[in-house]
Formats: sequence, structure tokens, C-alpha cells
Amino acid sequence: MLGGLGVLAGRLVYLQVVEHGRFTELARSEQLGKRAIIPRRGAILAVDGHPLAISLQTYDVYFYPRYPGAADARDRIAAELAPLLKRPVDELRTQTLSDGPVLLASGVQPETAAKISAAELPGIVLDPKWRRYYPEGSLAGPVLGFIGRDAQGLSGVEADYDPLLAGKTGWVYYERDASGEEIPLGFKQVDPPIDGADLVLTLDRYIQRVAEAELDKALKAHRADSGVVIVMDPKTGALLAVVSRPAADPTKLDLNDPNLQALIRNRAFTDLYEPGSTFKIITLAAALESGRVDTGETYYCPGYVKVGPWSIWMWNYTALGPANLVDFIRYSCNVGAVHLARRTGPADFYRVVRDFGFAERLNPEFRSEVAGQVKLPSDSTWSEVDLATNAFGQALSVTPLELTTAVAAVANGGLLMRPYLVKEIRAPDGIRRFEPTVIRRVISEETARKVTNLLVEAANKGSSPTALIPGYRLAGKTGTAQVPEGDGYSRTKFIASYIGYVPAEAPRLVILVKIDNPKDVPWGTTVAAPVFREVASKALAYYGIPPTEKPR
Amino acid sequence: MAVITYPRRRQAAVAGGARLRVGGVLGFLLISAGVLGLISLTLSTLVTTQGYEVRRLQAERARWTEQTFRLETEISSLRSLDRVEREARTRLKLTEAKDRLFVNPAGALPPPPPPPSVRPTPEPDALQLAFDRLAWLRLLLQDVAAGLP
Repeated sequence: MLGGLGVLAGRLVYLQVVEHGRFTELARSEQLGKRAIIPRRGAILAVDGHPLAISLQTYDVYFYPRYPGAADARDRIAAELAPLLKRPVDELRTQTLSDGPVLLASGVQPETAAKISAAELPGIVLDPKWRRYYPEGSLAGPVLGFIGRDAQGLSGVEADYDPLLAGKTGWVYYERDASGEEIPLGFKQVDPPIDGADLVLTLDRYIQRVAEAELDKALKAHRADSGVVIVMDPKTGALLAVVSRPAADPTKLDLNDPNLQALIRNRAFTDLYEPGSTFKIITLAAALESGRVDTGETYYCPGYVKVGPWSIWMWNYTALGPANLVDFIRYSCNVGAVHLARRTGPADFYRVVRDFGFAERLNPEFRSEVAGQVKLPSDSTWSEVDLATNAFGQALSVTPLELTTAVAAVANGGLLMRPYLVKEIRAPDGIRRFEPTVIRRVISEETARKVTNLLVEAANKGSSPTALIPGYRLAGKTGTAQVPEGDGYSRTKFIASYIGYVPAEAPRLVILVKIDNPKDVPWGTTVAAPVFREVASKALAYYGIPPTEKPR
Repeated sequence: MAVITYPRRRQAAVAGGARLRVGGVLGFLLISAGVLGLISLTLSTLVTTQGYEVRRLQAERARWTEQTFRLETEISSLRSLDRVEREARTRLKLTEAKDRLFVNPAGALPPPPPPPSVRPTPEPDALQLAFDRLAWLRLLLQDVAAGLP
């Protein structure tokens, strides 16, 4: 008897003392339920504060047929919901015949949701949902990115800054009855959500729109496959416009589209390409910075140059004869590029190339950014011909962002700035502003000035007449790059590009235009330079930058 | 030590007074408890009512905040560049500016930076240039001589 009582007492002690915590927790989990309160996702704003993406509350309308009285009220439900959801009665009636819960409508506005709620229809449940709106439509789609069904950022700024935009989920803990329903006036604790931060971008919606319109026009006119335009402020590294085409429209996004990845990626950050002659700006800067070449340098161009067993030809198979550095830029002389690279020497050439930020991710906040690829003399596969071809932008790959940032460094007196897209974060606990950041000095101010002057002189002598803007001094370079294919280069596919900055004496805008595979003419001067001119001239007028020369 | 004894009547009066006092105290306590209970009930009802009111006002505030967001979004849509351009072109019959005139109050353009100190290109040697233009033939012959395809 005593033994039995002892066992009972021991069991009681075990349950009440030793396992107290576990059983309390079990009991609480049975008694308490919890539901999430999804916070408002932060808005993405243009530089002027105008929203580009904003979240608004909407409702999904569900029908639960097993809810008491729901099955018998199908006719009434269909009749009352039809005018509110603007759907045919028969269609709704058919949908409600389902055995399980069925989604009748999504994205229902709050006013309509209030009317549905007031109708007290059995089995009808309103599920609040945040929905992304784009007041500027598809503007800057690939830059903004999009969010998935679970409201998580999947690409672009939405993905890069997802933890900030998403905020913190809140929770409601409540006492529930045997059926799991909340007990009215029972225990209730609310852990409120924290709304996501708003992001103010550096993008200017006017410049962005102009750049998108001009690129679209050129892609259509030349039946090109894709294209990129970047507009950057060289003094700060702020990205004023980033256009990537083709692009998905975030307002009509089809998550089941098999080509979605190609349409949502921001090609300005992700796509590697051989920059071709636009890279000669870098070759020129490296040569002048090395001190072995000065602006008075002359060379002889016989139309080709021998590099080991290889012969490198002028792009148009012509010979310039005696040439200077303006001729090198003006005629985009490959022989001159090889000459300058050899005079610079591989050590100094590649040091400057790397210092310009090539083969380096420039902003760790851009999660999708890809680093370019440059073979170095220390690599086992590097040979002399690499130095020669790299000098005119072949056998290395860069992203449009890398090239724009590098040329912006020349425009900025030799200082390489970190490119950035987010200017300000407006979080519930305060505002954080981003200041322009200098990555490093790449070339001296004097070298930068010399490069600018040579580019201006070449432009004045007609290196790219289609890019010229009357009244403004322009520093720029065209590029017509071959596209690598197999072991060599495609004979039919080209990349037409132009990169330049205006006004050359005090640069405010660096603009890169890159157009892939135009079907009519391949030349940068015909395909890309006019886009540069249109974007630059409209941007100059928009910013009220006066001309510095009398239009000729 | 002294023992005080009271007469029987006095003792009865004292006992009666004590009963009265106990009754009074009990009555007072009962009334107080009732009043306190009433106050507590009133307060609890008040708190519950206020709680409901607070929740109603919170819901109201959330609704108005949402409405503000909605209206701001509507304003943004109305201020969108596409719509502004459409209105300008169709309703106001505006066209895109072609020529821009910058007025310079100082009356002079800022001086352009000095030209680069580029050495002029020397006059090409006509014979050398002609020879260079046939470079492809020379290279071809070299390659043939070297037995390359």
C-alpha cells in the first residue's frame, strides 16, 4: 500500500516538478494560437520622392464550403458576390461547387471588401494581402525587380534590399477554444509588426524614361536583340538611369513564363561582354599614366601589327601611316592600341586596368552584380597576344557597369567612385543617407585631363559625328565589338556601343549605350552614338546645363 | 493585583454594545465590499468599453492610414510621366521643344579649356603608304612561303 502511494507520489513529483516546463509549454500551445501580421513592405522611390513601387492593402476572397451553412448558401453567395466582384453569377456558382477551399478573387479593394464583410455570407473569408503597385508602370522594371508570391524580393532592388524593405512580421497570440477558434475576451497579446523601410533611389524618372524611350527606338530601328543604357553622375557615382532590354513589365508579370529570367535580369549589372574599341580610353589612360607615353606620341600604322605568329589588323583593313594620339582615337586604330600597350608594358597596363575596377565587384550591395574577367600576366594561359588584343577591348570581358564606372573615373579627374543606387533609407527608426564613396585614385588629375582633351579633339575632328551635341564639348568613344563564338568570333553578330561624357570641361553625365546584335549595320557610330546624343541632349536641357561653345 | 467586577446589568449593556459594534463593523464591511465590488465592476466595464473603443479607433486609424496611402498612390499615378505627357499632347496640344535658347546674363560664354598639346601628324610618305596598303599581300606571301594554309 505504502509502496503504491510512494510510486504515485514519485510520478506526481515527476510530472509537477521535473517535467513542469515541458507540460506547461504543451498546455499553452494547446490553449494558445498565433497568427502573423504581415508588415507593409517599404516603398521604392525615385530621387524626387515619387513612388516607383508601393504596397497597398488588398484582400483575397476565399470560399470555405465546410463552414456551417456555407454549402446551402451557394446560390445566395454567388448572387451577392457577382456584382461586387464584377463576375458572372454562373461562373461564381460553379466555383463554389468545389469540395475544398477555393479562391474566388484576389486583389480586392478595401471598399469592396467592407461590403463583402457586411453581407455576412457564410463560408466567405477575407484574407488581407499587400499588393505591389507601380505608379510609373514598367519604368525601371529590371532595376526595381519584383517580388514573389510570398512577398519576398526575387530580383533587382527588391532582392538586394529585401531585409530592409520587408520589415518585421508581427504576431498575435490568442487563447483558443477546442475548435481552434479565438475566444472572444480571452487572453490576447499583440507583438506589433514593424513596417519595411522606404528606399529613395538615385534614379531620376525623367532621365530613366528618356533613356528607355531612346533605347527602345534604336532596338526597333536596328532590329537588335537587346541593349543597355547607363547614365551616371561621375562626381558621385550615382546611377541616374539604368535601362536593360528586353524587360518584363512588373505590372503584368507572369511568374510561369519560361523566359522570365532573361526578362527580369538587370543586364547592366549581370552581362559580360567584350567592350571593343570603347576600351581604348582605358588603354590611352594607362599609357599616359605610365609616363612612358605623352600626348605628343606618334607612331606608324601600316594597317596591321605582328604579335608573335599573329597579325592584328585595323578594323577596316586600312593603313593610317604616321599617326598621333588624336588619330588613334579618331580612327579607332587597333595598331595604335597595340603600340600604346607595348609602350606601357604589361605590368603598368594591367595595374591600371585592375585599378579602374575591371574584374571587381564594385558595390557589394548589388547582389546580382558580376565581376568582369581579365587575364593577367601571372596567369599561365596569358601570352603577349593577350596584351595586344586587350588593348583594343578583345579577349577580356566587362559589365556595362564596370566600363561606365571606369570612364566616369576619367571624367572625375582620376577618382574611381563606388556606383550606387540607393540614396536614402527611410526606416521607422530613422533616416540613413548614403554619401558618395571614393574607391581609389586610378590615374592622376593631369592624366585624366590629357585623356579628356584627346577625346574632345578626336570628337571635334569627326570621330563620332552622330554623337555630337551642338554647343557642348564631348569626350567619347565608339565601339563595334565582335561577339565571341566557338574558338573565334562571329562574322555576323556585333555589339555596337558608345560611351562618353558631357560637358567635357566639367562632366556632369557619363552615358554608356550598348546595343547587341543590330541586324542592319553593326557600327557603334550609326547604332549607339545617336542614342547617346538624344539622351545626353535631353538630360543636359533637363538639368539646365548651358552650352559652353557657340553651336557650329 | 486588583479584580474589578461589574454588576450584571452593566455586563449585559457592555455585551449588547459589543454586538452592536460588531454588527456595525460587519455591516460597514459588507457595504464597503459591495461598493468596492461595484466600483471594481464599473471600472472593469469602463476599461473593457475603453478597450473596445481603443481597438475601434486603432482600426479606424489603420483604415485612414491605408486610405492616405491609397490617395497618395492615386496622386502618384496622376503625376506619372506617361500621363503628364499624354495630357500635354492630347488635351493641351503641346509639342516637344526642338530648339533651346540659353540666356547667358554675363553676355559671354566661359572660355574653353586649352587644346591638347598633340604633336601634328607628319605628312605621310606616299610610297610607304602605298606599300603599307599592300601589306595584306606581303603577309599572304610570307604565310605561303612559311607553308601555312
